[in-house]
Amino acid sequence: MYEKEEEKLDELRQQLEHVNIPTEMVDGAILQGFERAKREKVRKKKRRIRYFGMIAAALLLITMATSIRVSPAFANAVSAIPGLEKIVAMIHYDKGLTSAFENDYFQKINASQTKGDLTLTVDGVILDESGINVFYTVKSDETIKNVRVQNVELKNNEISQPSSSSFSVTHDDQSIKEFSNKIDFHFQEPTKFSDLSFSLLMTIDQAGTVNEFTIPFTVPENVKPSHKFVLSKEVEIKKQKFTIEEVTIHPLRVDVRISLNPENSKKILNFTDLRLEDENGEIWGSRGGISGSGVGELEQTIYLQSNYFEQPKKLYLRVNKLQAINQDEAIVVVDTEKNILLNSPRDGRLQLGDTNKKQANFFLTQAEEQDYSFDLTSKIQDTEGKIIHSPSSSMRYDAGKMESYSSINFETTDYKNPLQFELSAYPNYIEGDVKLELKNPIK
Amino acid sequence: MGDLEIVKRAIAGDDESFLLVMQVNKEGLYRTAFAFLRNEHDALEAMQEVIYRAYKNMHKVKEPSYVKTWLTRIMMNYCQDQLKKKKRFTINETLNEISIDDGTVQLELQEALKKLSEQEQQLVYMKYFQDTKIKDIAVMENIPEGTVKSRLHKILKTLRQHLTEKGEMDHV
Repeated sequence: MYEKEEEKLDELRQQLEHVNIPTEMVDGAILQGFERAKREKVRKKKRRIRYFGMIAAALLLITMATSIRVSPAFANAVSAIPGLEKIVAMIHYDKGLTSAFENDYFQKINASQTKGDLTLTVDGVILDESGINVFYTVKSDETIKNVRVQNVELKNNEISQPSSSSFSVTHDDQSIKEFSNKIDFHFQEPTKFSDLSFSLLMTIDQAGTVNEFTIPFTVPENVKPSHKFVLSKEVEIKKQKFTIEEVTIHPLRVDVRISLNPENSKKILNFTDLRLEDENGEIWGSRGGISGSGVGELEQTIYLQSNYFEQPKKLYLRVNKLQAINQDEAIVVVDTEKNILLNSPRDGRLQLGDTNKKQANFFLTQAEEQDYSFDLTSKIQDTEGKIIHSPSSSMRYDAGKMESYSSINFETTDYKNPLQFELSAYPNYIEGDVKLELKNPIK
Repeated sequence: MGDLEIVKRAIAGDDESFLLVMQVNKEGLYRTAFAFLRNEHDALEAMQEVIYRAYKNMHKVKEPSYVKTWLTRIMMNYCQDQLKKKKRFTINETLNEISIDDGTVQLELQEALKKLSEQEQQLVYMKYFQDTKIKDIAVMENIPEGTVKSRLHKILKTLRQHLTEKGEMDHV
């Protein structure tokens, strides 16, 4: 019936068959696409959860899948706790946690509950005044797939303040029979408990089936006291002033409380290399995957790995490098409907990809650092000041082009353009030398 | 080891098998890219992007024997997105890119194809250019074979309309 049309289509097909194929270049493109996919890292962004009635940020822990090197002392400490070798993989990148293990500060719990096919076990905890790390294992007789930790809560009669937690949301969709991880609960205020009975509440979604676990447990021994240094010392790097208020050393982590001078001409985005250093140059730096609270605020607390169990002769707080950008460049303005970038850092490296009302894509050129975390923004608002939440964002890095890509999804399309993105990171650095000695702790 | 076995291993995440599957399908994919994008540069970029997407989504392939159709679909979706974007930025550049010795008939046919919806274009491409069986299209699209047939029928009718309209206008 439509032979003529079909014939014409066939002619067109034959023409296409004569198209010359540049085989070498096609093979090159295949390899490039393949390598890009292998390199890509997608990080799910902060999920907000409700916790003791307050909103708390749940940061995703970045598991470091590098080879594991441990000290003999650490290996000894761990082998003394049967079945806990898996913990090595979780904490080897954190000197403070490793040293807590070496100094027998890990407390074994071993309390379980079974719901459906799954058994959740609290293996043990590390508790101090700043928080508690709960190590757990999820097990099944059958292979489990698509397991997702939806929510975690910690209960104790004495916890009344808001607290926050970090945990891994998704487990790989590979088929496994058990997996272990840890939950990092931070207490908002330093807390010393007189009642050491806790309850862990955990909601686990396994391929659509939701189970709520409640595991009561008692921590055998109370905490070791934290050491606090009060400095209140204003320092500067390239005329950008900030005050180191206090440094508190807990077994789990070190809190450095800093306030920024509001008169600064630049906005300080990150304390890139803030660290503790002893007289031999040994360093305790930032905690892998976990940033401080209050980023972008004038008052912020930065968490470092702990040196609680060490006894250095001298201890310094040092800063040599800040990530900072001129105040007027610190807000990126985009019209997502017209797909235009209205304000951005003047170096022109940040560029706009496709945008629409639901999503904005950015890319950063000349991104030389392979692992540069291009977590663009922590705050988005529309032209009327309405806060726009971003339920998810992803980023990837193209080493060939030396470009970082960031894709931000918006919770709603009900907003008025243009949108303002407050930068939370940007690879622009200023350098100097700040070195403060930590002396005379308040115990 | 048969082809299907290789595809299965690729789906399970084996990199070497993935690259083998891409080798087997590269010619078809490149031709698809060229058919839509009409120039080498864009077609090569499409290859890179589609390999990337395929790798990220390989584990979602449910039926190994349909991997070719699956890949072709990713390619067509990508190309159509690219064409939409291009439309926003360039004006009529595409006309110059089509070589003249295609003959007027083919130019007209291509113009007529452009007027089809994206879904219809994909259907035409699968049926007449890739020679995909109606049964396989039905499985991929998750619609009955009868529906595929009636859609193709409707498409041919539309094509005829466009072509005769054009013809009539030329006669005026």
